[in-house]
Amino acid sequence: MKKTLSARQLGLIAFISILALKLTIVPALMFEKSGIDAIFSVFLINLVDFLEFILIYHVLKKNQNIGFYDYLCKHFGKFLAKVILFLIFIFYFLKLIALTSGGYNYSKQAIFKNAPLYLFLFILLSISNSLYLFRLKSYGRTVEFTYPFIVFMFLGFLLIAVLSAPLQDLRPFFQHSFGNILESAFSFGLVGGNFLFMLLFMGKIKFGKNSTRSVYGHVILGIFSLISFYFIDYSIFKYTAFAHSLSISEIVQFLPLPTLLGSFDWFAVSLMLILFCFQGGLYMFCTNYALCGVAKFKKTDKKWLSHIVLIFINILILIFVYLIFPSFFSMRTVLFNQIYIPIFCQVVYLIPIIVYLCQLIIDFKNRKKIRSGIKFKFDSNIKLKQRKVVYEKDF
Amino acid sequence: MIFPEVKKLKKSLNDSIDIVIRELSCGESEINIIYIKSMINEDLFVSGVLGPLIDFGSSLSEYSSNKKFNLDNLINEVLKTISIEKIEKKDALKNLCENKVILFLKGEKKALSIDIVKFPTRTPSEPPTSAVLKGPREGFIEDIKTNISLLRKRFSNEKLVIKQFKIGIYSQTKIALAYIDGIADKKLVKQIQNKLNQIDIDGIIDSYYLTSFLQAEKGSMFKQVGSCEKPDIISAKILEGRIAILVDNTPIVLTVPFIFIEDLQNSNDYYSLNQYASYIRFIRILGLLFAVIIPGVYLAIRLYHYSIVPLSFLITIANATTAIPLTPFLEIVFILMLFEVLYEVSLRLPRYLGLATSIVGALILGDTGVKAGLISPPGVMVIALSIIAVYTIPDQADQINLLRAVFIVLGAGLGLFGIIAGVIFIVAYLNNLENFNVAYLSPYSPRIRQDLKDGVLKQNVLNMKTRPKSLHNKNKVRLNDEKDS
Repeated sequence: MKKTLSARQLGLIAFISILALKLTIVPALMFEKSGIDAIFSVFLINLVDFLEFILIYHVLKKNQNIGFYDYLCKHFGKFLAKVILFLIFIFYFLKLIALTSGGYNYSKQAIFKNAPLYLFLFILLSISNSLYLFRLKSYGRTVEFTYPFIVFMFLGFLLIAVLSAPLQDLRPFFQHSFGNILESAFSFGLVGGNFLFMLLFMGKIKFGKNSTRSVYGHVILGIFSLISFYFIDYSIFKYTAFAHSLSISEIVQFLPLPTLLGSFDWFAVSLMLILFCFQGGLYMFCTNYALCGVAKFKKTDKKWLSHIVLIFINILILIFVYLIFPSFFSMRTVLFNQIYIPIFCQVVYLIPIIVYLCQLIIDFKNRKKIRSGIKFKFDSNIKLKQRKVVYEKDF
Repeated sequence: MIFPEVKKLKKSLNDSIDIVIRELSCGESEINIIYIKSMINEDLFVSGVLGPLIDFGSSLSEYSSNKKFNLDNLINEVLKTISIEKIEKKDALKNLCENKVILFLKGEKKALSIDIVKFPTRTPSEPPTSAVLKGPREGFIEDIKTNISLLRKRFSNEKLVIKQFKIGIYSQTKIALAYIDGIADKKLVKQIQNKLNQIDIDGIIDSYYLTSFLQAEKGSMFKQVGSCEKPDIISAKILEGRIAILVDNTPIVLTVPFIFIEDLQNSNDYYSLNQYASYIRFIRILGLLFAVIIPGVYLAIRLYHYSIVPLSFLITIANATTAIPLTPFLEIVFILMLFEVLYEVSLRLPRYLGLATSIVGALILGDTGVKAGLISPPGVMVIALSIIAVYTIPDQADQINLLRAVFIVLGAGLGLFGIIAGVIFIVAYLNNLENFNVAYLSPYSPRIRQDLKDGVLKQNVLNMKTRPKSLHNKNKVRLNDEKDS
């Protein structure tokens, strides 16, 4: 199998997958649900995500020469493979819809005062499609190239905010019940599941010497900086955080910066727009890979097949954005307030666990096979006491 | 008497006026010499060919009893030139077209081809496109022999390989491939040789003709082949494992594989402080950004995102632009066109007229345009800054000028989001670009840690112990620590 991504690039993509909408719309929405305790909901979502990441990474390292579709077919059968891929497709498609609608809402409020939806869609879909068409290798490299700027912008932003913003004491916590925290985390299920994309990239990653350290490092940095961001956001706005739906851009306006940097907003706006583009690209990859698997397109290398799927997904997005979720509020009501979406997300969250358990069984079977296959060979030239046991593995 | 084959030769060249035939008698033998008058070194011809032949003929008639001789006698005992070759008579035309002197001896089946070619050349001087403050001031010229000697001068080692090709049905242009055996990747050498051998074109006038054949993505606007006029730079690139392609009649030498960062590097960087070189490289990147996206960003801000501009700036821009009758987009396009026209004119006019034009253009047209209220000072400033900034990376000037136009349209049509999407698109496109298996944006994507030492932040030569890993060269060690200590 052709390796197109380095482990470092995988870590960087994981870092980017954590951010985007979580920096703009989600903080206010979550605050609306569980008040200050939303910080614990975020923590919980990320904890689950991190645990899932550990499971997924284990499976990825164990299966470096097989694609996800083939892996599923081999161990679960074709039908279940297609069901799993279909669930992933729906999950990422909903994420893409949320990104489109939320991104448009952010752009309209932050920079494009009277921008029509088609303009935003045109840009987002063009860049997402282009990133997909340039293939995964190019996407990974582009993320790698842009990563220093993103990190500089985001961590710089966090640093400036911590140093200059009037932070308030968040206590007392747990004003609501613990159930409320859980419910909030549950409702925003679509916001989590960030690392599921890694499964789809199975077999395409080149693992090296320091891969694990690099990938874990970037994932932990991403989660840590996201939680820090929520902490800063809620510390600045405290009880009014639900009203500041632009979050990152609105924090900037609260910072007492010199006049020249007074409209430091462009910093946050640029960061958000870059993140929208990359997440759009990533979701396009995921929906495409998943749907290609569902539609029996085993090899996405057959360009025309993947192009048809791409066109289909674009049409689907347009239908959803224009007809089903014509406004941000309708999207928000359906994706974050209806019970069936979080339930669906929890089902999707089970996929890495199932795959991991399957991997454990495979590992166990392999170990058993190895043990039973060991033959003892004695070197007759050596005295009995010094006799060396030579293991001969026959697998 | 003129031999029939010599007559035929002259006829083959359509009796051109600069074809000269000399008939000589040496003892009992007759000699015909045919050459192109305008392409030989006449002094060398007289002293090395004609003079010795006449002397030999007279000595034969006076002293020798055996008045017969052959071509080998002429090569070994008579002719006083370095490059003499015995050729078949059927190859005479080809050799004559290569400006060699052809000597026929009656009764011989073969002929002699004597290389005393000379044509007008200039002496190596500092190339106008890459002037340096410190370091060598030599530059390549239009003669491939001189260019090869400029390279050879820098490598007193048997490992330097120079292979010659002739491309072009009519031009038969000499092309030389230079690399160091043991450093350059042999597969790469073979690939380039194959590509050159496959070229079937009427003529190669300049090295630029070859670039299209050497690049992986044929229709791409981004250059995938390096070019340079300075032998010291080419030598350094050869030492890194690249392959140089010298083409006759042009001072521009090509190098492959090429990566984008090469154009950010300048020979001055290697002859000055590392810290200063890093600083200047950073300035070049800023220049690149200014040149490409500043007009687009200016338009995006004026048309869509005025709220993100600090108030004091906004007031200044608003004051300067309120009375302008043109829309911001048309204003920027108008100023850009004005600058481009002036640039084209100043390039083509004689120097003294060019100066007058630039005065008329920049001072009178620009100043009057602003005073008349047709264009605004911020608009003029933005375009002027963008155009000047192009020359921080002159080798990418064509690409930058095109990209600027694209970003102006993106900024005006789609705002800041369009510009960011455009930048990501271009970076993704460049990341997709690979020529001879070398990633275009390496060592940044994919990141190659060792190669970053000569990236934007340049390190000391003592730290650059290995050759660029991105080039797949054979011998990785550049600086031997043990010997050094």
